[in-house]
Amino acid sequence: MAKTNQLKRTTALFMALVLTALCFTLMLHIPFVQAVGEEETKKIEDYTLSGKTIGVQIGTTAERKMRAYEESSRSTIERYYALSDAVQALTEKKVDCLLTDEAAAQSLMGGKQGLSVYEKPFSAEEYAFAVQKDNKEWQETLNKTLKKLTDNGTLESIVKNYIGPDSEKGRNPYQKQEKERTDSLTLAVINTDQKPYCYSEGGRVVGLDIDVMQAVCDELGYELYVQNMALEDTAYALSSAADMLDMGMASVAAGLPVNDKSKKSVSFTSAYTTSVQSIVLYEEPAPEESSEPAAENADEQYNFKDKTIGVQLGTTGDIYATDYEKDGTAKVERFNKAADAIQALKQKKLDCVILDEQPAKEFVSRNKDIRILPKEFTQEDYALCIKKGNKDLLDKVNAALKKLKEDGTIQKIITNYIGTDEEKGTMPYEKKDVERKGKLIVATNAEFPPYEYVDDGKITGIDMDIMQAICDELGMDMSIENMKFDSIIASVNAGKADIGAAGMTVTEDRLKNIDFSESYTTSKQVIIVYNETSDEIKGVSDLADTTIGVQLGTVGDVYATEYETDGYAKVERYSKAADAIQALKQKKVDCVILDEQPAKEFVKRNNDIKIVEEELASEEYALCVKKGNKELLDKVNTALEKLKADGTISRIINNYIGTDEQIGTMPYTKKDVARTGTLIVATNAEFPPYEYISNGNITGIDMDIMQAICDELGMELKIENMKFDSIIAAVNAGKADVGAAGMTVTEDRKKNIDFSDSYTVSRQVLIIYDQQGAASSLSFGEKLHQNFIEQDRWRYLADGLGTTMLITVLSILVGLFLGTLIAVVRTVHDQNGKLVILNFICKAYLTIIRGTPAVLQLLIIYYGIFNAVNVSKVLVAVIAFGLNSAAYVAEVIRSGINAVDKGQFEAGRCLGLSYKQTMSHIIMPQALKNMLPALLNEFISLLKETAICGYIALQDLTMGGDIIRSQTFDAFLPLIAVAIIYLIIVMILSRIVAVLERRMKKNESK
Amino acid sequence: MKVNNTSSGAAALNKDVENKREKINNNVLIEVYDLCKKFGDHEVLKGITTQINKGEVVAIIGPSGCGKSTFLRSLNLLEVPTSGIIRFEGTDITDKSVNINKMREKMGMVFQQFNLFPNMSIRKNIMLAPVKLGKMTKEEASQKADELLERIGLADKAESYPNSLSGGQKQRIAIVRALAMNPDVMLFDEPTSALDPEMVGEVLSLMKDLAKSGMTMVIVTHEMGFAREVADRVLFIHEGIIAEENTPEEFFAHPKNPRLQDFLSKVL
Repeated sequence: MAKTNQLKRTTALFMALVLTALCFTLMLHIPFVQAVGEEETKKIEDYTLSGKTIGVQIGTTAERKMRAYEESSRSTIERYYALSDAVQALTEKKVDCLLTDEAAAQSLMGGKQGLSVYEKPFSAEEYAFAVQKDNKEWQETLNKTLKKLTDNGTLESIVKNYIGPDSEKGRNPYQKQEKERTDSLTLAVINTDQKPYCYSEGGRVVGLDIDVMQAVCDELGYELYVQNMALEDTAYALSSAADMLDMGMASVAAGLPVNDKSKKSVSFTSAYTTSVQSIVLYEEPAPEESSEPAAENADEQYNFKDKTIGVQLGTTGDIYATDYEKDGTAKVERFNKAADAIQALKQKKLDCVILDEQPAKEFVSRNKDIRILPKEFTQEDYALCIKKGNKDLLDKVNAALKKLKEDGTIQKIITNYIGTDEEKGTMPYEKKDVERKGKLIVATNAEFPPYEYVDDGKITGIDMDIMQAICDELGMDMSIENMKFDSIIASVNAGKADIGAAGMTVTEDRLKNIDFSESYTTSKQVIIVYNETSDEIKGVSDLADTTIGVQLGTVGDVYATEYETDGYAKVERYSKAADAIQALKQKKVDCVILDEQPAKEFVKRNNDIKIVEEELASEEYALCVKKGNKELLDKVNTALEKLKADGTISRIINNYIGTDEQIGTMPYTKKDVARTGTLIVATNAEFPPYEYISNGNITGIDMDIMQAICDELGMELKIENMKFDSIIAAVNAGKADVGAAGMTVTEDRKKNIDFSDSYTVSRQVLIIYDQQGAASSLSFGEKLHQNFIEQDRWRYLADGLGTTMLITVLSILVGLFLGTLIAVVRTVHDQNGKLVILNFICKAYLTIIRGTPAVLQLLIIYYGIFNAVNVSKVLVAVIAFGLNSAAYVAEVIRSGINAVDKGQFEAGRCLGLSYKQTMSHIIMPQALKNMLPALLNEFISLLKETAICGYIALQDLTMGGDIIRSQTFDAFLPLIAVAIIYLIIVMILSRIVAVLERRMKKNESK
Repeated sequence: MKVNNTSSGAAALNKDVENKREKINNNVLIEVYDLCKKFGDHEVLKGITTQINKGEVVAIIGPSGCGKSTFLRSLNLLEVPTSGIIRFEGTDITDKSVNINKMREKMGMVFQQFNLFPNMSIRKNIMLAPVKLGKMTKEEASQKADELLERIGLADKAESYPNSLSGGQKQRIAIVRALAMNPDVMLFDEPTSALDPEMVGEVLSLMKDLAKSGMTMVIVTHEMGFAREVADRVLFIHEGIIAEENTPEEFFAHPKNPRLQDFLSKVL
């Protein structure tokens, strides 16, 4: 009963928590904007605010002024915290106009298109300080001081700090100066509700007026005191202020309007600022593409709206994408490695990827199915990062960088990796032979070609070469630490590395935690998108700027030549269609133009090519005879007609290119007829299925048709095989009588030859590379080769395995030792009640270790405990896994002991044996048998658990698989291989366990 | 541990038993004064006072859960008394300063569940304690083991492991294991309760021989016939105290305690 009640209560509590969380999340998403204002036509000539919905920014003069309008219900006021929100509302037509300080209004121009400032300001007021009437001397002093402050820019700075534009607000608060003060000055203010001139914040009175007065006091050497008259009704302000000034209770008053009325009671200084309220309007610009993208508006180049963006964690691309994510424009997927993001893009899990330009180019050069959008996203500078405050190293590095830039080393290094194809690889940086003292540890994330990446087992790249160059300059040894990108800044700060080099851009956020060197190169962020739909050749129009492969002398050749002449495309000609296809497979040409039937044949046999849906042309094939040979022509045509009529032609064609059921089922059989004379047929037997060599014989549609014709004509058929180009010439020269070679009738050819009636229609199609098909077409053997044999990639697995085993074994030993100790303490306490404190410590230890994820423990030990120390990662891993394992081992041992019958213990003690003797001779041997399975299972778990080593960049078996994966982009094979290796080891260990268990059982029964 | 050595306790020798005693005081092996044992709030023994004399065979019978086993296990301090004094051969073993291991060397115990050590051979089972405690050398112990096994006719089982033996064999070997230490008293906690009826006989027979040879024995048992035959004194422990105590003849023929009468009527 009690349990069900408890269950109900727990469930209720849980539901309540979930609901609260949901509500909270919802609340955060409800925008501040409320009811939409009415739409009214804007009268541009004479703009009136009555009846409009006006947007204002909270805490500004505009807001104050609009209160009166609002109170008299003349207009609706919408308030926004940030000016940008107000602008947003304006463009979305939620408000008719904005009212804001002139400076802020001007700052909006040049931003969004369509915004304009109404020429007539809404209001313009000068602000000045009031002093006792006719106190000329004091007035003069103040005016002089104010002029000084204007001249040295202090006034302007104070104004900007309060009034904006938004980007300047609050940036540069006025700092009271340290100086000797000989007198005091009391400033009377009407009330503290005049943001931003005079208002209350954090218990103090602050504002533009106050700061200006403070500046004045600093000039004059006075101490400033503020007297708040706290007048709600400003009607009395003038008289109250005048009284105070006259009585000397205040020397200056602020907030009084400068007009004739006031001037009767007080005197004014010169104006220290003018407040102009401007009206901002919006008119939607015409839908043409704007010419210059605004500074921060990248979505005019590529519309990120509702797209899914892929980025690498911790990179600049991540930062930008996060902005889109925050305002709900797009979704963002973050990946540890750029390669993973690219992979996801290829699998169409993303719409685009944002990356630095150079690495992007690398990826795109290796993957034809992705491309970079022409408009760059942004452009930045890369710099090296150094522990905050380490000025000494920073200076050294900057000096080295300067030198290397000046002597062209930096440029050479970069060009070596990302120059033109001719420059690449021609000027690798050579490590200098210099004296070295000390070591510089460089942290990097070697998964960002070409800045840093793993090549042939070594970490290399632009950044690495630059670092080597710097180390050569500084005369230090270089040591590279590879880790996750996110961890680099932390590592440098923790002292695990001296400097971070990882294609890192300088951002405000990063500057908070780290110092940057001078930039060493500029990179661009570009957007990578999947290539299929945009760049895949879909038809003739897509052939522009491509390379077309054709077979010499075929119709395809003819068409392609036309394109070539127009400069539309490049053409590669091959003697055989198969060669063109091969070139296509090797991506030496972008497409091949072929007759449909042969094309279908090729595509059938090759998974990695496909035919474009839109056919290029459709033609008829005919036989050719010598020009003027009417007799033969008529005979052939008659024969053809007959053969068409009785279906022979169809049958012949279907036998070669019909449906799968038809193919090969109706071969033409040579008729048994009387023959007189020979008909020589010229052909180019490299054009399946029209003519080709099979089993040493020339066969094919055209050959069969010719045979049929010869049977009709009662002649012997003789076939002459030759180059396609040569056929027409041969027929003309009389070397052959008929040409049959899948020839189409063209005007050009008709000039030189006569054609029979067509015997079939063929279509010209475009064949292109099929990425999808290709991916699955790599045979298994090829995939194996690529993943494991190429570049000795299997070494990653072998070395990783070694590391994994080493860590596992050492951790087992630590775990056993420590676990036994703990178990002993716990057991003694259980049985005797002794060792209370030790027992408590042990229990606490067990609770913590068993209550937190192992990966956390590993990270805490590496980054937290071994913070400033440079230790071997293997040691850290062994400690972490050993400690972790000990917790479980201890409990296994303890329960193993407890599982031994209590009577055994009693019997031992009753014989007179001590506690220790009983435990060691009687209990422990039995307990061991109990624990053995569980212990060994724990160690098998430990083996698998070590897979998290990668978190501290320790290259174990799992990481080995990851590295291969990042090089070959094949997700499946490397991972499977790693899994299999783990499995094999686990199975071996389990076997050993089983054998051991059996042996121990044997010992018991004899 | 409270030393509850009140004058009433010292004088509280059961009057019924006094006239039964044939031995003189320095033949007393175990003395129990006002033994109390509480498990948490549950009081199991509520003040037991008695003596075990040299050469005596004392049987303890009674319904389950009334403290028989608790009393027996208290004698060698397997259960630590809540209060009261137990003297073994003159030494107060409830005193914390006493080396209980040494005391236990002279008290053999036989359990209902035999408790042979399954990870050793029979020979090793018997040799373990004498050798580890330095009482004999390995050779001596081995010889003794052979002797003892010979005596009970299980010499051929010396190298066998316990789980290949029958219950009766195991129990006899358990007895013999305890005897290997040359104890002065043997405590039996329901030695035959876990045995098949056909094996009970062989164990009882061994125990009879043991009694005849003059071993002091305290036996908790349900075997009434055995008790009647072999015991010098029979105790009925009921509700935490010795409710009745007599010679076997009187005990079984003329039980005075009504609960005992009830019990015997059901059992006999």
